[in-house]
Amino acid sequence: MLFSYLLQLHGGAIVKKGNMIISILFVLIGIYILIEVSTFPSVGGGQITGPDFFPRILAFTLIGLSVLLFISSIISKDESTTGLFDIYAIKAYITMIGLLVYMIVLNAAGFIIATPLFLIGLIRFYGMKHYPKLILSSVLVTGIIYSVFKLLLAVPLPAGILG
Amino acid sequence: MLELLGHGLAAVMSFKILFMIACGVAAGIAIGALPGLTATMGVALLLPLTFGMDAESGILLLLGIYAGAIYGGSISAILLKTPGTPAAAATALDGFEMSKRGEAGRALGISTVSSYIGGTLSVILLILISPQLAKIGLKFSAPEYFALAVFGLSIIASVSGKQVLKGIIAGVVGLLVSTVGIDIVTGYQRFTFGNINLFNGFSFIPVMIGLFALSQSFISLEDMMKKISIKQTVSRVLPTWADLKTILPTTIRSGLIGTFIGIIPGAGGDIGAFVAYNEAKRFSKHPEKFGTGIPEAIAAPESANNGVTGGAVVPLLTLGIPGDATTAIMLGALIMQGLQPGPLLFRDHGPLVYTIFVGFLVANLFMLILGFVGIKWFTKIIAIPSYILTPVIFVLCIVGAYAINNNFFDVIVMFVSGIIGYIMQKLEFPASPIVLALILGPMAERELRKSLMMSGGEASVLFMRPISAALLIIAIITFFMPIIKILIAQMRQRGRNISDSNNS
Repeated sequence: MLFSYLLQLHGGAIVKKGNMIISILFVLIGIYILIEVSTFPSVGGGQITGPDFFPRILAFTLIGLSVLLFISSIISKDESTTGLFDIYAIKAYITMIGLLVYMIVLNAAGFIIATPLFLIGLIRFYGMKHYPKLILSSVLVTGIIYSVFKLLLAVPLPAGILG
Repeated sequence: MLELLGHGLAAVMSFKILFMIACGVAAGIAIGALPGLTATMGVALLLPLTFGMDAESGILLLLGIYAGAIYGGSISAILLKTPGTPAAAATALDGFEMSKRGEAGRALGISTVSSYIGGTLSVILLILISPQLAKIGLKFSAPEYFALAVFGLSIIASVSGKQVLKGIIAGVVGLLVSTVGIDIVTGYQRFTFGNINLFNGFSFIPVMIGLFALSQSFISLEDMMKKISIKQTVSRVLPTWADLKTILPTTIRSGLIGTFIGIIPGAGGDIGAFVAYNEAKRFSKHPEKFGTGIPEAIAAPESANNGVTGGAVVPLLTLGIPGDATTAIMLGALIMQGLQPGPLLFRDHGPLVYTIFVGFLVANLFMLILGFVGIKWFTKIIAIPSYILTPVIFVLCIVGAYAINNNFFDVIVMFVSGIIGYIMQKLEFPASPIVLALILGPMAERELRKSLMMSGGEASVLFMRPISAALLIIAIITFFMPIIKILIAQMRQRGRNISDSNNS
């Protein structure tokens, strides 16, 4: 409820605005690259094929194209929204945080411990309420991935404390 | 060549390789049939499985997934009107109409046979064309390779759809990202920030898993709650003689169209299928019936999209340039196996190349058999709820990124690429230009600088050599064609608007 209220307040995120922000960002990146590249050593007395040659051309191109995008966004009458602040998108953001936590636990505790927990949490979050089914499918999936990857094909999985 | 083919046949006829191909095709059909899982995603997600395998089994597993997934996309297109992969979008038009009449089995049978014929035709063409192309490729030196990379990059404009400017920007960003790491020519570290994981640049498999699999799954969260129910019952799948006779000419023509579109770098199964559909309509004696669920209209796109699979492998193996996004990941797979695709592959690894050829033919045969025998099973897979499937995909993304080098840095790269891919998609930036740029960027830079060293700094060297000049001119045309088309369309639109306002 709160989210939808905030959304109305915010008025959604318009693609046009997003374009303008992203083009400014790209211009800044381009300038940063140009500064960074100027510190690169010039090999063989300023020959054109130094390490700075290619990035410099690209940085100029990026700045040029981003300015073009900025101008065309100003002219554009497109009022479509990006959907970046939609209710649905919030589900994606929570999933991203969940993935981040999973990656941290995976690194510390290993695949066999982290994966069932992650799956139980995420599948529950996506709306499955039947707990026996939920736990069974999470453990089963972990088991299948582990046996196919690690046991059958010897593909390494994060071992964590068990390794 | 026959001798090498014989060798290939002998190599494929081992239980292990046949088993791998069968697994790949079965997994591919399932992946393709599941709406939301594309062939590219399937190959990216299952690529880590091949790390412990020898090159033959690994590559053939991936080719099996590729062929199977392109075919499998038709199952959900026919039963649900939801194409399982973009390549099956054209199949949904008539396929669903036919299955609505209660003839789902007939539609699936036609799609199975057509996919097989299209796929097999394309592999035969692959076997015939590739060695010749590789022979020409052997004569290439730096300027030609540079021109080739530029040609590959010029496709960016046409794969970007309506967002040409954004596509080009994405391509430039990709090229910049590809400069990260130790400069090959001088050994200088560029943009590594002293991080040892960046010395060799970003490895592009984690980036691709992030851009194509992870971000796609974030997007699919939005329509997760849609319930999938199949109303049609699938009965007889084997097509009748009458149907076979009707579709045969269309199938062969579409397979050829698909193959040639596949060879063009950047143009994938979706484009091939639509072109073939339109051509079938043009050749038809009763074009008005297209869209009502007639056999030819299912056969054309299905034969063409599987035709693309063999075609897309031609530039991949002979020149090291992927024909579409899926073969771009296979390029990564080949490099992981220590093989550098390109003309030298044919000279140095001839037996391997022909094993791949024969295996690819076998994969198409398995596709036909599994399509007829297992169709009931595959239609059940479509019903797997996405609230279970999506979390599993997330786990596979992470596990896959980790397995490449056994380190978490790649996992982080994959995760960040996934988030960037998600935001890009929301801001209408196409993702495939980044991948093209990441793959072709290092090649373009290296060969350009080599060419300039060869000529002592004279850029004219690129245009003095006939092949490189021709490739660069084609590249320029390819690059500007979509832009000119859009400009013309805009001008027409404007002209129409003016005349409209004059009339009113």
